[in-house]
Amino acid sequence: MGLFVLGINHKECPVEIREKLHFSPEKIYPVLNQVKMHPRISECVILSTCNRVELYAATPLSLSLEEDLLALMENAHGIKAETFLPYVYRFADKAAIRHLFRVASGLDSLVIGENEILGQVREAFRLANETGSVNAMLYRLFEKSLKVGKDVRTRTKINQGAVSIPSVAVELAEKIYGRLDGEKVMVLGTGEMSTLTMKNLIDAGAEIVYVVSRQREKGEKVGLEFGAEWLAMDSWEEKLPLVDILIGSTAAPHPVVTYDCVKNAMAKRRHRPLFIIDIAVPRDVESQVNSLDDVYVYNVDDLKGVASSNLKIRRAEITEAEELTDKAVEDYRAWMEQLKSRPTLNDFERFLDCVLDDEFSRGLKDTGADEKKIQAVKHRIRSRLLNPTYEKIKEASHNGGVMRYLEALRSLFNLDKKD
Amino acid sequence: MTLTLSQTLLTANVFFFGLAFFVHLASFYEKISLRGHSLALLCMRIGFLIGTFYFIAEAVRLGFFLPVVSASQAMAFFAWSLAFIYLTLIMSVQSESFGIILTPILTFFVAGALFMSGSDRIPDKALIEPVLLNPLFEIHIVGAFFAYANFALSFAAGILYLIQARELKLRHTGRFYHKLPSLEKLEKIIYQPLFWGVPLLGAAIFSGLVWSRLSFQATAIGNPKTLMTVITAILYTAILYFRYGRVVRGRKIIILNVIAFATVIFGFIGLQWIQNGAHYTMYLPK
Repeated sequence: MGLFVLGINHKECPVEIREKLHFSPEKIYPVLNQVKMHPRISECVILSTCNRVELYAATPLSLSLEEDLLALMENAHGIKAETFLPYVYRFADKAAIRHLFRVASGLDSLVIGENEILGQVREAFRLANETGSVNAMLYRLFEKSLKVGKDVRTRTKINQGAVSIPSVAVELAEKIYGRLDGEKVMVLGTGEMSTLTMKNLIDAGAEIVYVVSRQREKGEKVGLEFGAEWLAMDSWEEKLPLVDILIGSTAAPHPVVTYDCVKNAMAKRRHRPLFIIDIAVPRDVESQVNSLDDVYVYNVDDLKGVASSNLKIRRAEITEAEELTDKAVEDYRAWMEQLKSRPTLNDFERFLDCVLDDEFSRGLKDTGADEKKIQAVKHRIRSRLLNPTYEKIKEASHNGGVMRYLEALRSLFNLDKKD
Repeated sequence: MTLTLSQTLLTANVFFFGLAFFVHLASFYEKISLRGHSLALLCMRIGFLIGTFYFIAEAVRLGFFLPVVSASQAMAFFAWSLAFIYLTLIMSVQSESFGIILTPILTFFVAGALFMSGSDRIPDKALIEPVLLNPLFEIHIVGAFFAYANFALSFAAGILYLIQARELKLRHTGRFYHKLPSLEKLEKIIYQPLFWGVPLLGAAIFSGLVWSRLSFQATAIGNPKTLMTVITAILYTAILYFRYGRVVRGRKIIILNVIAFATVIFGFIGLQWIQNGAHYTMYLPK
């Protein structure tokens, strides 16, 4: 009985190889169905994201599944193993359990503590469960990994604070306006970063109302995508008092948002706070603008500064998160040990039942003793012998040494004897 | 030394408010689990209940309820009204950072009440001037206390607003940035108590004037304390008008709110000290 994981991830493997080994859901189904007929693999889950491809497998036999899993990868993608072998990592048993728990907790992610991975683990588990390629071992393992992932995020600050520029912009907006609820946004320029920031702001509840662009066609196209109105570069200033968040991302070589323009807008806004996100390089906003009361200006460096400070907080939580995952690994390993002890304990129970049946039928023959009473006595003897045994095995499953007890049981009571 | 029932209740009150402060502090600096805020809130609620028992016990013992007959009771009553407003009126916007500011204030006032309780001499009901037991005077006192408690809460929220605004302005995302609520939420905590405080202060001024007219055939309108209170009421009314009349909002108005509270402190404590006693005593027989 063993657990294996074989995979590649963002740490070592270049994206060109990762994308070749990616399993889409359509590709996962046939592979998992194929695994169900496999002579050595009894259970399998495929976790495939943009940062990692991992095959989790269980076997009832005491052998390594490395060759089998490599062959699965090769066959599924039609790529020779030599191509990706240098980047492959493999873990067995306790290390495999630990790896999955760390992955689910976001400890192995590119951005520590990110939340998406937990959903991706859940989805991988769902697909495998749907295909019927998981059984007791991996079912329990993935169920536990989801719980660990959730626990780590609630009991530590591993996922606290935004760490990407668009999400930092949203976090800051929420620190000013609370939960975004229709806060109006104006965007100067239509760059890739501003589009990403707009998407994040919309997801958080803001409303994009104006897209300002020199090129009317492009501006209207972006405006249509976000349900916003296009404004020409010479007419946005009069609309500034109407918005709460201004994103600057033009390619202009000089600042387009001036001190006087914002000062006038603030007077018209009656000093309702204004949040300006300047993601343009060179900057779109004059640096003196931040000196105005109730105006909060953040340029790219400021946003990066917030992101890195949040990342520091996350990093400080790693030790506690690792402790939580290590404890969960021990719990799962103990459960596995107990699972391994099941056949021996079943044999011991059967042996005990035979002895009790023999002795009671022989000793109490013709005494006319009440059958109910005999059964009750048998039950009591059985409990007194079995309960301490179970307790010892349970205890040993946490401290190690289950096998020693099992071997002792088998040898002392000759449990291997077939008759 | 044996403690009276009142002193025992005040001691327990100090203990629970103090405990709430330490739990808030430990939670703020992450020395205890994330549920620290709830535990601190529970301590505060227990403290508040003990405070309520204290006033009931005192009213039963003395046969009247007038929390200004001694400095000890006045301090305890101010703390009680602060806790009452925090736990009831602004329950929805409670935050951990707010508790950390409020609980030491509560502890300070109740500890002061306990300290003074030994030397305070509360006169018997028979010796109390009958005019002080007039319901109008009680409305005046209770209204003023609750109004000032509302202003104190608004002031504390104003300070937190200025801290958070500064953090955002300086792009300093430290502990306060993470722990303090958004500016919008803090604004709510600033203005919500004012909605209660301004009418209550108005009621206190009006009932005080009517009471002095009925009791002494004189209105205390020229009294410095009354004048200061009227100025305070005008300032807070102006703040509400600026904010909700959409005249101006943001940092400047919050600073005005902080200044307005300075007039409360001056009117409540400063003048009392200058005048050597509560302002109503000038009408009482020497």
